[in-house]
Amino acid sequence: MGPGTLQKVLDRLPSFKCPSLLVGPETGDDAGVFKIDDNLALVQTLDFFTPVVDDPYTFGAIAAANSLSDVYAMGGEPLTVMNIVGFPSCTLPIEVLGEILRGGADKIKESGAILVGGHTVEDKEPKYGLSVTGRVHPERVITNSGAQAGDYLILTKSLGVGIVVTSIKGGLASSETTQEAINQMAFLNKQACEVMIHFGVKGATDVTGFGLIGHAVEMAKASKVSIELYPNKLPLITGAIELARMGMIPAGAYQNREYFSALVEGSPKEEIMDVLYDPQTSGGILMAVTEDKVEAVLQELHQTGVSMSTVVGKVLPKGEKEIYLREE
Amino acid sequence: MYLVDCRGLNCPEPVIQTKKALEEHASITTVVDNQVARDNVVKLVANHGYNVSVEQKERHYHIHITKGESEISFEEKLAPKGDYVILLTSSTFGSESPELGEILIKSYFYTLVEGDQKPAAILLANGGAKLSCVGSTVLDHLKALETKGVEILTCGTCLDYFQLKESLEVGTITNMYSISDRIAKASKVINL
Repeated sequence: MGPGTLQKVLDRLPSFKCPSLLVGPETGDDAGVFKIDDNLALVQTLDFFTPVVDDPYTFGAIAAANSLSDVYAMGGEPLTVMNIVGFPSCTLPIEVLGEILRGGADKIKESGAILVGGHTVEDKEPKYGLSVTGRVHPERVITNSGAQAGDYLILTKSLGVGIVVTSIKGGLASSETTQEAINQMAFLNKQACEVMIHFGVKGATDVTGFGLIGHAVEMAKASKVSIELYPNKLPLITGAIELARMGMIPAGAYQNREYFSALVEGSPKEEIMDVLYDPQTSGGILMAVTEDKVEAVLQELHQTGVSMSTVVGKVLPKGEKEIYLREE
Repeated sequence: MYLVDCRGLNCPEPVIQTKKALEEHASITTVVDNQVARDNVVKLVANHGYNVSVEQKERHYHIHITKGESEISFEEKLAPKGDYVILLTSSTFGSESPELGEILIKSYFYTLVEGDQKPAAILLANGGAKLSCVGSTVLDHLKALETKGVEILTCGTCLDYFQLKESLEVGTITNMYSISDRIAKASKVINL
């Protein structure tokens, strides 16, 4: 759902106040965090969506990686998960469902979490995702409000997933581009999370439906800072720019642009704008790292296989706009 | 002119159908019913350097595409013909006398319809939003301008404020993003 429409509905809900609720819905963070005692807090999240690729096993793996990512973005360790499934059992063979769940289960295993159950409903089209419960030390929660002026922003996956998924549907994406996008969507943010914990990173979010700009806006608002993004330094899926020029822009990118553009200054090329607003499925972690640690964090990310990680911007003191797009 | 009817279709289908049609025809018109499809089709053809113009008919966009070299940038292609826009933030021409202002605005739009130098778009905000709604004395002029390719864009926030959203008679509802975009991209902005 578009960010504007959703916010209007959420604004009408009563707010739940509780001293143990360390992270609630107000800051637009990735997951809720609830303190159990001085050494333990629960991280909880839920996410599911319709197929982004044709292959059911791959779809299952991507959906699971995407759901788990919200726990990683908070610096948490996933403990238990439950499947959430919608499936048209009258029109699709049941083996398809088996493959979706198998793809999910393999990804859950890779994360180290345990599958404890789930729920399935009849639906017109398949939907799959996870409800994830994780744990984190209450004093080491990483939130989108932890970015400080002077920090550098590292993004751990390439952008352009939404554009490529649209192109796959249109039969225009090359097999290399398709494979690159799939590998990236199915890649867990586990290593990125471990690097953040190792270096004591305070501020991070994962980049998903609102695109890099949208999630950077939420981070800027929650952290009461402004953010500078480098349009010439974005990690991009091979071929994404050409596909953007061909008009393979998902509707979500236009919604994001309409909602967030008033908070953004700077006008790079049209196709770069498209990428900046492009909704990502199972996107990377955007982390705010203090200047003295940037090199070491990047090195460790690259060594642990998070090879696309790169500096995409910098945190500035709060200015007039939330986001400034300037070439570095 | 080959017609590609993409009404009721969501992206990427209109882009794919346009691309296919262009492989066989030199000149086509793609009809779409949503802005996302419109912008994506324009991106596609602009990238190929083809000539493109967009015409709005009620709720549909007719995208006329002709193959051939053109040096115009994508932004210029998205903006309709003409190179200046008119921004009206009041329903009258001048504020000293509202009565005179109403006579003058009518006369101004009449002249505009008859003249050669038409704007690319007329942006209506604040009190100007009333001009495109039921009861306006310049509705016929605005409609005439629209049929001649001038975009009539009325600020949605303003229509809400005056509770006129149901009363819009001509053109389309827009938002501040589009208004500021139009102002930024126009070679001249005339603020009446």
